Amino acid sequence: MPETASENPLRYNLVNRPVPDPCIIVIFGATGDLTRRKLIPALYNLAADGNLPSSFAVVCFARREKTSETFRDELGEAARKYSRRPLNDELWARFAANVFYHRGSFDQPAGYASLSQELDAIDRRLGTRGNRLYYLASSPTEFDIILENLSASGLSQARPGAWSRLIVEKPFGTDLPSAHRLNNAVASAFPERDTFRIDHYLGKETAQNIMVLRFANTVFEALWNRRYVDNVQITASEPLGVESRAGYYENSGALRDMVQNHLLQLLCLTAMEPPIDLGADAVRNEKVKVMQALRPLTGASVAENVVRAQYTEGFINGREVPGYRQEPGVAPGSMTETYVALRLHIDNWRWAGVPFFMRVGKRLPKSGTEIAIQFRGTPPVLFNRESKLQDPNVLVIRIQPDEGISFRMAAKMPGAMLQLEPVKMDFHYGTSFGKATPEAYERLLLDAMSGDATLFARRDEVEHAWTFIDQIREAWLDGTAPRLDFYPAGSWGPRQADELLSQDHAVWRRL
Amino acid sequence: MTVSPGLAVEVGDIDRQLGLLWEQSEAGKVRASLVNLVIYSEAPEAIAANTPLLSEIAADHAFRAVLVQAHPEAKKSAVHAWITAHCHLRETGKKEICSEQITFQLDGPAAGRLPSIVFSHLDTDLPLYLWWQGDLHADPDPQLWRWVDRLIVDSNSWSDPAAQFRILREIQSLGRTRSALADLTWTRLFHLRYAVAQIFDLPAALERIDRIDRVDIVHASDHRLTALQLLGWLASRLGWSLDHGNHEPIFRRRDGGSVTVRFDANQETKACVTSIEIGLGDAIASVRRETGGDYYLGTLTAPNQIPVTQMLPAERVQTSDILLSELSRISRHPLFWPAIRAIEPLLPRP
Repeated sequence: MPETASENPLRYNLVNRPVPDPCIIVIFGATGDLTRRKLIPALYNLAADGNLPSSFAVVCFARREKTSETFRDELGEAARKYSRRPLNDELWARFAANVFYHRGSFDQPAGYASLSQELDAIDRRLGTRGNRLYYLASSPTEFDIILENLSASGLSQARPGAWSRLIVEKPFGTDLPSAHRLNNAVASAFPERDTFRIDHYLGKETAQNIMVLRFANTVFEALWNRRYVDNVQITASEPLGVESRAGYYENSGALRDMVQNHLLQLLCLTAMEPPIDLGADAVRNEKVKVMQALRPLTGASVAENVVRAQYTEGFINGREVPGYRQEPGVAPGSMTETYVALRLHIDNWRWAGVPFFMRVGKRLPKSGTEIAIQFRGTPPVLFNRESKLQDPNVLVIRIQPDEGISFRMAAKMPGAMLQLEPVKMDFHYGTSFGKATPEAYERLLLDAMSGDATLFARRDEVEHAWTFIDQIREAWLDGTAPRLDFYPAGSWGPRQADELLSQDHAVWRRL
Repeated sequence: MTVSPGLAVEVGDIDRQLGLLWEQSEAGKVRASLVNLVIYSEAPEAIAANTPLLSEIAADHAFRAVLVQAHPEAKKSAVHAWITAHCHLRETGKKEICSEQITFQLDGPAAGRLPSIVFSHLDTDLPLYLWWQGDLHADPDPQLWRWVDRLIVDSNSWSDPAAQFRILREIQSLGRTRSALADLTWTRLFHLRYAVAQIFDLPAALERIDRIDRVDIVHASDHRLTALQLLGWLASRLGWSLDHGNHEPIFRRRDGGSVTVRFDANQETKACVTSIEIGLGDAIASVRRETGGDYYLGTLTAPNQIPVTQMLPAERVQTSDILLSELSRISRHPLFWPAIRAIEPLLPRP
């Protein structure tokens, strides 16, 4: 007799992904923005697609005094605003009926004891079978105490025949020691296989498509090496300033906010070797190998390979905007970088000698995240005899917005003269696939419920990333690296970033 | 919504005229295509019926469509052709995405030249999906079928399903190994099968799945075959064999127990299958769809338990939605033939 949903014979061949087990998601810090804007809309959309398990509940744990009813109303308003599909009142009512508010202080054991009782009661009532997915959506400063109490109360312990998992929202620490501390705290409560560190970039369709592009197409992988690739450019630009996040950003800066997680993850997916299978560990093993092969930037090499800068006043879309130091909540003499450009080298057989350029910045002219593979030029014979070809082939993977892939190549202009011009072959997700793309959180929550950690960061990935980033910060702090540069808002960054590439006879792409 | 098949063109001039169509189109329009979608129909109103349908599909799935309306009985041999494009704005402020449609009317002996017409007007390298509307021909043309990547039919529209399934098997034996079969009647059942499966994820239902003793299906009066395919899926997945009966058949379970089946044709409903109720001895699992509802309501009633209800997405009833659902599902349907075999003796006969 079949005993679990995965053994249900009627499930066979209905969907080609693991079926999530019945479970309860417990969200810590549930009154925050993440829950309202992302988590609840994502769970509602999963319900609307029929992707939630047959027995399912959400328990929202937070300090404020609320009832489940008032909290459901608040979530309903938020879901109406942020859900990618319109709310169906009846479906929302059924979904919301299994969302519960549990008041408790993160540092008070009593709250966890009563949570345990409530979870048991829900198990009995809804058949959620003791499976728990704890989501740390609170401030990172509270992660330790929550984990300590989950452990002390026994909630982190999986019951026989059930599972207990943890989702940790970034940032995974602020440097290597804090990441160590956090990872140790996590490890004392949950084994690594049950720990899911969310980097929502990895839930995006295009990020997932990097592996498909590379390993499901013969033509690209054959060229994906030092023999054919001149350089790789990874860009994340945004026209927005620091907005209301000055408190966080002043302590973080672009290097820790974006490079340590999102950009290094994209670098790993771009540079890694083919995994032996698509399982979580096989993929993450290959990503870790890239981190291990990343040439460390320390001391003087930081000055040679890293540019940091801060935006000054300027114009975005014709509108005058203040400089970073004039933004509310920012110290007048702030040295926080809002822009970083790096030249990286991966010292392995495939990539030796190929520079990987990365840049991330605020108040740049337009929004876009992309990976550009710049191929080598043709030899100086035939059409390139006088080095006339200025635009070698480029393959661009656009992560956001307008997700897609384009390839630039040379073509002859019609006419009697032999004139070559660059032309672009363009694939847009939105053009080819009209179907609405699920939000990254939908995919990631479903994977965590199904126990698939492929799109989540592993402990060693995170710690390798921090080791790399900390060395750069140390050089900044001890003065061996140049001080901060400046760029006007609305420009593509400081002159020093252009000079960084010109040493390799390269130029930044204009998005 | 466009009903006209567009600009009348000479058959030998189609490629040039399509080129002109794009040269003259406004800036901001992008031609896109994921598949060659060929539709063949011998219905008199096929062009008028399918052109708006293609326009709807183009909003979500770019294609090059070749719509063929054949009149094999016509005395005079003639070929008429038209071209048009279906353009849709996918997101505000973005470019319009356009799909091409080439329409043919083949009269008399020209209707027998389908492969020649189709092969001359395919978008190179893109897969060929052929939607054959109505009854299949008894003598399948290997020249055509060898190149079809996906054959789409709608068995619920067939006049003699038993005979048509035999032809379908023959066509599949002619096709290349990559050609796949999609029956829109089976596609229509996807969400309902999903909802039934979801109810059986509940422990109280799953532990009784080998004790099913009754299946009651309420279906639209013109969807008997759809209801039968649903039954065939259950029977094949759970290892039941047909014991006897026709209108109220009885199946034999693996353990020798019997499963009685009752069909109830409902004149009122627009949904192909309105509900299925499954007796599990002392418990009942049911999935039902309210008239006009977008969701199925799945319910499990078991002793000593509060009834569990779930809302799960239901398919839309429009043909364009069913076809889109099929176009977006690249995989094959390995459960289809086992389901058909399980109900073959029950197939309606003329």
